Amino acid sequence: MRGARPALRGAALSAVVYALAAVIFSFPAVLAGPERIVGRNFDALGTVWVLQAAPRLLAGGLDPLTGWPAGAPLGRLDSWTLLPAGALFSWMDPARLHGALAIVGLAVSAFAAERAAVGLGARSPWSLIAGFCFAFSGLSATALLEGHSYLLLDPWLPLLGWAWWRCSRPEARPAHGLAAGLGFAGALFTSGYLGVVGALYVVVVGAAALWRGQLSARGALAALAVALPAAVLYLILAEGGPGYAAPGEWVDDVDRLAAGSAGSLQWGPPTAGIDLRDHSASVFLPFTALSLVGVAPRVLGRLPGWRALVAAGLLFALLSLGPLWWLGPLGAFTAPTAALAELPGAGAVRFPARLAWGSALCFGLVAARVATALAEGGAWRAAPLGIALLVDVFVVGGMPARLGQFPGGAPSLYAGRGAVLDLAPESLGDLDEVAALSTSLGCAFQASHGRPLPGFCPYRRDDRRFGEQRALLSALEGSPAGLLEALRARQISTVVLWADLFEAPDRRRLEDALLIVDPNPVASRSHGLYLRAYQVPPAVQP
Amino acid sequence: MTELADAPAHTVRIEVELGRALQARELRVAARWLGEDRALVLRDDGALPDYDIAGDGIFVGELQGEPLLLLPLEITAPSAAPWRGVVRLFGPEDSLRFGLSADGRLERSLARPAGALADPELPRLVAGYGWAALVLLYVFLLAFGPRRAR
Repeated sequence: MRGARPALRGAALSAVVYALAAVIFSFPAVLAGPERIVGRNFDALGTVWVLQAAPRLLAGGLDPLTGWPAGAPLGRLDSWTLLPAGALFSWMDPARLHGALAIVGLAVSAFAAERAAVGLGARSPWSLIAGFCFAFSGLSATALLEGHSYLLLDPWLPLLGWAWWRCSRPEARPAHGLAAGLGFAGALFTSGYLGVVGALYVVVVGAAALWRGQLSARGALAALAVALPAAVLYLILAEGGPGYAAPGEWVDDVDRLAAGSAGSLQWGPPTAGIDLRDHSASVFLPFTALSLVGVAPRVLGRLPGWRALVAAGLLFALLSLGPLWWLGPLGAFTAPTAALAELPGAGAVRFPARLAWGSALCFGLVAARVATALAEGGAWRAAPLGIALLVDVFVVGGMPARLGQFPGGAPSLYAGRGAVLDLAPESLGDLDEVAALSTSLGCAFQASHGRPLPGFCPYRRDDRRFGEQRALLSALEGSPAGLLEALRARQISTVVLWADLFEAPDRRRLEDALLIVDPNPVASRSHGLYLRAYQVPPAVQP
Repeated sequence: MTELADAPAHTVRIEVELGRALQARELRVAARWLGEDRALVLRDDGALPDYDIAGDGIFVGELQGEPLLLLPLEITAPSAAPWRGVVRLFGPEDSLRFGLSADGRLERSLARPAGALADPELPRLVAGYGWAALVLLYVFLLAFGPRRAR
């Protein structure tokens, strides 16, 4: 009982610190709502759409509001936790839910990592380092900027990290195995990438324990009893469960796999170029944590278990670099791990950079233990570690200054009934992001106006809308009657022209042609966009 | 929903670095801002004292208007193909930087060139890695310093 109060105080301190840090790190997520979607890249808009659409997507079958009129299967979804969250909180505005998930996710994940560090022998407040390294790294910044808020809500990997580490000790109990299995299952359903991280962690830490002859057979069997059914269920769903398409495109060439990998520079401080467009792929882990890991051999010496964690962390770092190593001006070199890209199923790991979540956890746990040991030589001497960590997270890491936002809701011209076709350029030379942005904005608008769209949501390169546009543009070359007929055949009630995004000659041609459809279009300058809505008149019945 | 009647103004500063070698008095920019055609002249005469030094080869100009998300631009410079594209804005103040590529094309730059440094990202990287070295030194002192060694 005497030890319970300081332990409780430590847990309360970390909960408060992480809650505060989460609000600051993700600002202005705390202000997200009907007027504001927080995120920098276009995927944030797709996530908001998924959250709003969750109840009807979970109902199974095709989504009636996208891929109009046939409906669309849901594809390319990495997480199975986003849909239940969206359905459970369907009473909330989806943009607000998106922001809340980010804040709660950061705080909960950090808290879980800190508790795992305490379980591995770290003491408060030094255990806080584990939570900051795991949940406030460049990986979290990337998830926030790109809008992958589900990646932030991950107490599962820390649970697995702690419980499986306990299974590798002589005093392990079956409950540790069950907890490890639960952690793996939670990580897998949160994201396939986190599932891969969890599986590799189990292999590395388990192999080290086997080598020492300390792996608990009862713990391992208990873990397997939970993890195996979860993995089978995941694979069944990925193979086409009710209402879902294939889990997403697989990458079958080394170059594309390399594009989703962490370059050596992405492990360093995030630069302005990282955020310029499309994605904000930074892996950056706090220098303070990495420095502490660097002195672990000196400080932790013969303490058990930390070497396996460092080995696992290094393995994840190596794998995150992908099959090609980019060495700045020296160019790209084939990595020693490149052969792994040829393994069956390796193509599903389209973004190897995300495997660095494993490094963030393992290095954070070791760093917290090292800091605890260093503080035994004088807490005040080690106190600047806390300041250095905060500088790493909030200054070097650049958050929350890097975060952007989009206007929420939808322009008023979307009010009405029937399907809406957003007419925006398919591609603008090297600025493909604009096609992704306009499509994703259209999806986010739909989360507010609720009218069917011919395109797919979230954005896909093979968006059906582009095919519809091409057909309509062909119809434009013919008679006005042909255009009207083409729109009616597709059961389109409104065409919204994203006029400014077209080059002047195309814009004039489109505006002239659409005046035949509706001579009195409604214009909007809301949401930072210039849009014109043309109502398609119904066919006159003979 | 963001309606624009009471929305704050949005400023977009455009900087094009041609260098001192290329002789030009001004550069022209054509833009579309919420349905309106806008023309902007970029100058290197120090008229925007906070952002421009006269004669340094960086041409600067500003566009202002109601909040904007996507800005279509066309920049015309002498002896270079025009740059055309749509830029994502974040507001309420955006700085867009362009420069000449090695083969003489206008291209988007990451950051304003800082003095003689060829890579505009370099100051940030140097600061970041300098900090890393400082932290590493401190941690090593903690781990290997005299008190720990005892």
